[in-house]
Amino acid sequence: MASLMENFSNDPIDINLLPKFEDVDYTGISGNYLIKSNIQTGIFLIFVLIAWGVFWYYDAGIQNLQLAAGIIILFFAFRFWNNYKMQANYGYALRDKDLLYRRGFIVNTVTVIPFNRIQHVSVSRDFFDKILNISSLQIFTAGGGGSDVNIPGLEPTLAVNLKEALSKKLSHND
Amino acid sequence: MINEAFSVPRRQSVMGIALIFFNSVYKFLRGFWVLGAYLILQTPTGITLFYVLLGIIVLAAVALGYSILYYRNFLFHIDYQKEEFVLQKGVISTQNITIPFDKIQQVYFKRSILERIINTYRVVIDTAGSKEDEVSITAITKEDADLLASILTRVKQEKTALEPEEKEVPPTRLWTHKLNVLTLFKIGISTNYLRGLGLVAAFFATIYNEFYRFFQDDYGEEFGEYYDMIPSASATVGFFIALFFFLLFVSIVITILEVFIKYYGLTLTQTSENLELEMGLKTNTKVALQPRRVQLVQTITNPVQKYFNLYETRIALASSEDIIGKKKIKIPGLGREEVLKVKDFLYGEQQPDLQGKFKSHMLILFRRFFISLTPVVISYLILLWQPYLELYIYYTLVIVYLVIAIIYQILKYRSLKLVITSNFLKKYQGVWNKSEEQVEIFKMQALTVKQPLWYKKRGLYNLEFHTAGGDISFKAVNNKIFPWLNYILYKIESSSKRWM
Repeated sequence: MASLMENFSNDPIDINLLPKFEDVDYTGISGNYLIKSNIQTGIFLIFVLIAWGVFWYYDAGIQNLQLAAGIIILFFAFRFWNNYKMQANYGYALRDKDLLYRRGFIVNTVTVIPFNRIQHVSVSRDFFDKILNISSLQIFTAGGGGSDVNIPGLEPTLAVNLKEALSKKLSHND
Repeated sequence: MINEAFSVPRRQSVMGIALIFFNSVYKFLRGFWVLGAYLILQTPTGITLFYVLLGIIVLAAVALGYSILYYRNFLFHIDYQKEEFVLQKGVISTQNITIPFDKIQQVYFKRSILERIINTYRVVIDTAGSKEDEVSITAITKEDADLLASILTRVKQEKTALEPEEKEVPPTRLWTHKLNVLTLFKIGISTNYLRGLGLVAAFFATIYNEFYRFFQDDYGEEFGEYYDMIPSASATVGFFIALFFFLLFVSIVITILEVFIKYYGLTLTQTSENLELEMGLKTNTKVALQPRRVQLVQTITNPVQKYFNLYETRIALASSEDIIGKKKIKIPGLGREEVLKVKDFLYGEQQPDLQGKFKSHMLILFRRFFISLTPVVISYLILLWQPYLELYIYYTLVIVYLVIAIIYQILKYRSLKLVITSNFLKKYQGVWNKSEEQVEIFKMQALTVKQPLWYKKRGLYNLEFHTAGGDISFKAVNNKIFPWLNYILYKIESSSKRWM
């Protein structure tokens, strides 16, 4: 294990003086992403309403219909509210040596990916992204599904720039 | 760089259009085969036939248009300056993928029947991510495929050759550990029988099923007579107890047999380079464990095995040939000294200087209590609906169950522990089977910190440590662990050692 020992030094480290990931400021994502999430929830709502309409047409019983309508209203009220709350929580931050990605309202999640562990990066845009002029950035690691991240709602040029910047970091760091 | 082929963005071969066309038609047909079956069974009238044909023509036109657009948008090139492979694709949703040369694990060809027919090749670029992350360049000619693969393989090697390779030392044997028959037997009788019991149950279920099907028609009545002959309740209890012991015996025998088949002749040899493992009666497994590829090491034992000085070691490897996470190697029956030797070899000297110990918040214990209550609630509801037991028997059973469940959960909670030392992260858990998972900090891939809304008030977090051999998660810790997470990030980011 000669190579292990060469790199091995054992200076005392005060772990409280290390850069703190919990104090990082996050950059939010484009407001257009909220529009996209609401459109998607809206489309889902339309399908559910059509299904409800079919039941109504075939007279599925006033009580059942009312109950279903109540559940639908509650569920979609929650979905739209959740979209709004989630939007505020999306954020990313770049530090010198890693990338932090924060998302989620009910379960607030922060993933930290060191640049020297990124496998590859890609930018993708789906149909709504094109209309709303946003992009998403995917970052893949060898840690599998749990550590791969997909940052949505970025300005297209920003997404490409981020991708370029990350790619550059990857080759520099190794 | 002499050869700068592929430095200009280029498309697939024109035959690619055909490939995409047939693929999309095939996908569509697979989705709507029911419709086809309907049309065949129900001979359509003239007007329906017309609409169906019209539909097919429109669909074909759309598919053709899509294929052409897909072909036009599919662009790939090699950026020699930035040392990366770039691919753009997609019609409705577009993707732009970049793979740095040094992240390429391997490059290989793949061909479907269709691709053979239209004589094109598909080049697959594999990175260390999961299966879905691999990138394929479809429908290119043989010359292009060969050229692309050779260039990518070459640049990848050039890139990785720069890294200091470990010196080739002729392997010398340092020590060998062999499992003898007695140890195998000990492992067999001290392993969990539940698996064996499951196998027996599955076996008998199959037999019963076959038996039943065979006799159902002809001998049904006769069988029924025998059934009537089954004597009263007390005899039935005796019968079930006897059956239980019989099944237990069979399970033990089967477990021992399984251990013998899997691990017979287990030999662990350490050379200066590798740990070499050989085992198995039916299929002989041979693996060389390189310390660099080891991602996660788990040691498991239970009180009986501890008494016998038997520890099972599971090692998760990352290797470019296999999809990461799939490859886990089990080595049972090592003594405490052997486990230490293995760890010394894999990790070098372990220095326990810096140490942080963490426990989960009591909250998860309470939550587990509630989860343990679920069977009680369900069985009580069933009891209300269909009284299947005398109430006093039911209550006795519930009390016994609850006492066992609570003791078990408390022990489980107490065993749960996370330890971070200067180079390792270790997670301890388990009541009967005690496990210790250990990962070198610099081999981690990423960290995830989660906070559900209901943890906010108490300031608790769930943690996930991602490695290439699987995740280690730890629930409900407070923010006192944050400096340690920063330390882990510092360790990963300041390390230039290769993690696989």
